[in-house]
Amino acid sequence: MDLSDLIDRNAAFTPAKAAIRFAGARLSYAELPGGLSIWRGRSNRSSALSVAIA
Amino acid sequence: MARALKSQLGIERGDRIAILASNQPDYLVLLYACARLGAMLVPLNWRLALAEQTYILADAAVKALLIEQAFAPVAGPLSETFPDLQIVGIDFAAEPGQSLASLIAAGSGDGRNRGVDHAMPLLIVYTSGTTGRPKGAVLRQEALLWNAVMSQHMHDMTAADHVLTVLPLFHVGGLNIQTTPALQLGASVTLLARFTAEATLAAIAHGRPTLIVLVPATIQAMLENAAWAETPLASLRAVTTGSTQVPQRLVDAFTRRGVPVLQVYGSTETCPIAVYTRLAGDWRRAGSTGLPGLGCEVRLVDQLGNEVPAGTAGEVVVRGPSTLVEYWRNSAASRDALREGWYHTGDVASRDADGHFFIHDRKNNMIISGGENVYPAEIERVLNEHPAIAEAAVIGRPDEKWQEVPVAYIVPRPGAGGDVAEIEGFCLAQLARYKVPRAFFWVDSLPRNAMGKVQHFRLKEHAAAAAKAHSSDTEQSK
Repeated sequence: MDLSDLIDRNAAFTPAKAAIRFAGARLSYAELPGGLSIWRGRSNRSSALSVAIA
Repeated sequence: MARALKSQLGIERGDRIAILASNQPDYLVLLYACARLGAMLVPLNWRLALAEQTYILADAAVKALLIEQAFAPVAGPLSETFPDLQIVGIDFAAEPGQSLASLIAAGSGDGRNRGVDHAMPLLIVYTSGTTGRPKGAVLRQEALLWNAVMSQHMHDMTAADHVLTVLPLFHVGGLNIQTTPALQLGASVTLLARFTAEATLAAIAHGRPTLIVLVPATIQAMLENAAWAETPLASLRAVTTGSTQVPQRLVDAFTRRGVPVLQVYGSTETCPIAVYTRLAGDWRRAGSTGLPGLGCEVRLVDQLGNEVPAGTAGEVVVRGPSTLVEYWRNSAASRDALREGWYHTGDVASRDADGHFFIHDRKNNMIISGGENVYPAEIERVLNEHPAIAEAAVIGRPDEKWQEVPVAYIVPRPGAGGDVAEIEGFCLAQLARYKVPRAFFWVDSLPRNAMGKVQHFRLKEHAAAAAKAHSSDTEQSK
């Protein structure tokens, strides 16, 4: 066990819950391991959300 | 991210990765990726001068640096100084280096290293010491685990909480008082890239957070903002503050509007939570910092190391799983600070008959300016390198806006002049702006005790008197 397993646990039981909100972006616990750059790449491709990265 | 760090950068158990960035999600993602790999994260204070960053990167022997585009101009000089350093642009393609997006896209494997558990060191947080050079406090994964237990106990935190983080993540206060405890518990965190009063009040109004950590300087800025009176605070279950003795008027500004203010005491070396008041307990006890946290032993001792009785001032010493294990590759500093497992804080406090702590002063003369720790020895080291200065001493002077600001007492070399602007420029080349003295006093000699040590308390008395008089023919303020 290490500290990251606690984040994995949240991703397993509450995957869609917002872990971090930042400058219009929302990262769920399931998305957290990929970080903001992956989230931004996905949202740019889908054009579903407008993200203002500070 | 852990897969990318391991497969693309070759990060192994025990390697160090630095980050130079304002608050953003990837800061926290990197922290937990380091935990998974058994690597250590070295957060860099973006307020530091390049020379200070360089010292830390060299001391920690960092293998990779993640850097935000806003700080890209330092990537070139750092790459020249550290040719083996792997540089990754968090939000841009670093040159030399690469972008985090491309790094993650190329990641493969399981993103795990063997033999990683909570006993592994996770953070090296540099703190300027009394020796004048920064020291890296090494904190294990279990330190963050126990720190989170204390935060959750302190705030009655649950997964339903929403933390607003406005303090910088490069300090343990911004990182660990509420942010990592909330994420580990499954709560939500909103990050502001940097604190501004306007953005913080807007985030409270629109995001409706339940918890926030503020230092006195940020509270003061919020009170002075035009939006303060109209901003609804009802969502806040508590405001947590500390870092120094907090003026009661700042506490009252929130409590008058129905928001409890919690006090926390600790330091970089304690992750930082060690002593705190509780939302469900003693937060109304005026002036008190509360009781020792769960799993944390806190004693007050005299100069011989004997515990002092209630009502008597003593040095705060802390022992427990959340305290540092050592200063990175600095056995002398580690031996000095850690004795029989007790971390000696250098702070002076007393306890009442119920065991509640009251923090009095800092034994080591540390200055806290705008929430930043400023160590006089570090500034004195720079001043003493100036060719016109024979010797220098630095103290903190009370300041309405910043709590304290550094001021310098200068003994000039024979025949040397006193060019304030030139000395300020000299300091700025080596120190962060907030460490540059706000006033200089030219004196013939420094007050010393029988052992030859500078008596900082006498300088403090002089500075206070000079500030009261508001003018002195020997003072040349900025």
